[in-house]
Amino acid sequence: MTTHSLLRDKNPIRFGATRAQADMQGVLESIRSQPGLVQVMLDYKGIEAVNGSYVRASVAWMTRCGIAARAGETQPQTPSLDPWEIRSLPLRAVFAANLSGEVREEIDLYFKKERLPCLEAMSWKGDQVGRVRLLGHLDQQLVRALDCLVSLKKDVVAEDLWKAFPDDRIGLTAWNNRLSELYQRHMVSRAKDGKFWRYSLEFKEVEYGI
Amino acid sequence: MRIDLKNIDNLVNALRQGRAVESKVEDLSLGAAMELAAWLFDGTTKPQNPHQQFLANRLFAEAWRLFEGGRPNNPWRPWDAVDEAFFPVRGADSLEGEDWGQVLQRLKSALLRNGFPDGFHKGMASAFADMADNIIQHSVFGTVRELNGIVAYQVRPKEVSFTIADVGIGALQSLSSNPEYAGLSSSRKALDLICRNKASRRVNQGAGQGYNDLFIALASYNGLVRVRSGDGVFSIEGEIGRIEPQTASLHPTPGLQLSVECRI
Repeated sequence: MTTHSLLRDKNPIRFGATRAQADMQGVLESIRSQPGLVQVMLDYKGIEAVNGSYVRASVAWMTRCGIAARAGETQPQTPSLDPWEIRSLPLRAVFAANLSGEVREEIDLYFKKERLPCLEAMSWKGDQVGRVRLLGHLDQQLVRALDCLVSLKKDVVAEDLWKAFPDDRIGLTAWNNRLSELYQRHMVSRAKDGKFWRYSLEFKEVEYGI
Repeated sequence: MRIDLKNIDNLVNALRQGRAVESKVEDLSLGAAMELAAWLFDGTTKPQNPHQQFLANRLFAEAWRLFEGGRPNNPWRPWDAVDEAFFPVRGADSLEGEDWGQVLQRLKSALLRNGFPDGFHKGMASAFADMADNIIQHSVFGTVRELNGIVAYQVRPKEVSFTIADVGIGALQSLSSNPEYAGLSSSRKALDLICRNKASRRVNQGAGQGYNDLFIALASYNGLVRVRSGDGVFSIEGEIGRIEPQTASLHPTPGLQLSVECRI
């Protein structure tokens, strides 16, 4: 896991995209230096307050880069003038960590507005994240699918959920679609297992909202 | 005559028509001084030496000197008068250091000392800082300049004004760098899209800040918010019972200037 500390000086108030971009310096190099999919934890330790611009240019930027990769977006042929444009990054998961109350609220607010989910790591040991808090927005049926996945405590294919939760009265295709949606939103990982996708969580437990 | 944000257009129009009106100008508000300095600095219809008279005005002189690249060292000194500040933005580092922190801290102190309520001072400083950041994010995008822009504030008893001004690429060129808005041809439309519809040059990063809500909140303090760029102007004037954003077309001006005035 790549853990990136955002606080670069003694100022606990971090406002603006420019400051966020300065605080994010080095994280791209760190990701690119590692083979395969990378799990990223953005550490807000010591930061007391941020604003929407800071959130957009830090954890939301990283999340969008991960989502772009999963959506299959390719890089433009001509290099952009903007060094902070959204680009496809091979990420397994993105976590925000060590959030103060104010920072958590600002992240939650921003991600709700953008209708995106964000995972706050609440506990972890080494590379293994235990408990997370879901901030931002996730459709109700996807929250239910995530709950089902967590409760089974194992990697699953859609058929496992279909069999385990018949009371939900949704078909195999719908389970497939919901898992795929969770994957696109960077909530779960997946790997090909024969002709199926096998989905896995990068954490053990989840709680919702603030 | 005092020139402020409500009649600055009349002054500039008179200057463009070659009328010798500068001797009638007794005073310039902060926002008016900054807009005038930006227009004179790089105006396409720049009059011949019209600014000598205005240089007698301290606010204009300070803005003019900074736009001209005057005073190679940082002209803002932490021990300057605390109720106002001119601060040049020269790259991202300008908004990172101790001096910038001092500007924000002194703005907050000045607001409290001049009768603004606790809480308002933090919100105002936050809005000021966020908008100043836009100079770095948008005004020089893809270009290199020695001076990115100027930020300034002035606090008087129960009155505050601040200005974020640059002579960079302007709203139209910035927004047009997003392929979604590549066909845009007017700064007025660009300002309308940016301020009201949260349009942004950034691709796939969600909506821009928009600022419509923030501008309305600021204008509600018996205030005025005005954004000038190219041939466009976006303004919100806070009058009792009516706060309506408006856009219009005017004489062209370089870069972008945002001015805010509030009274309690």
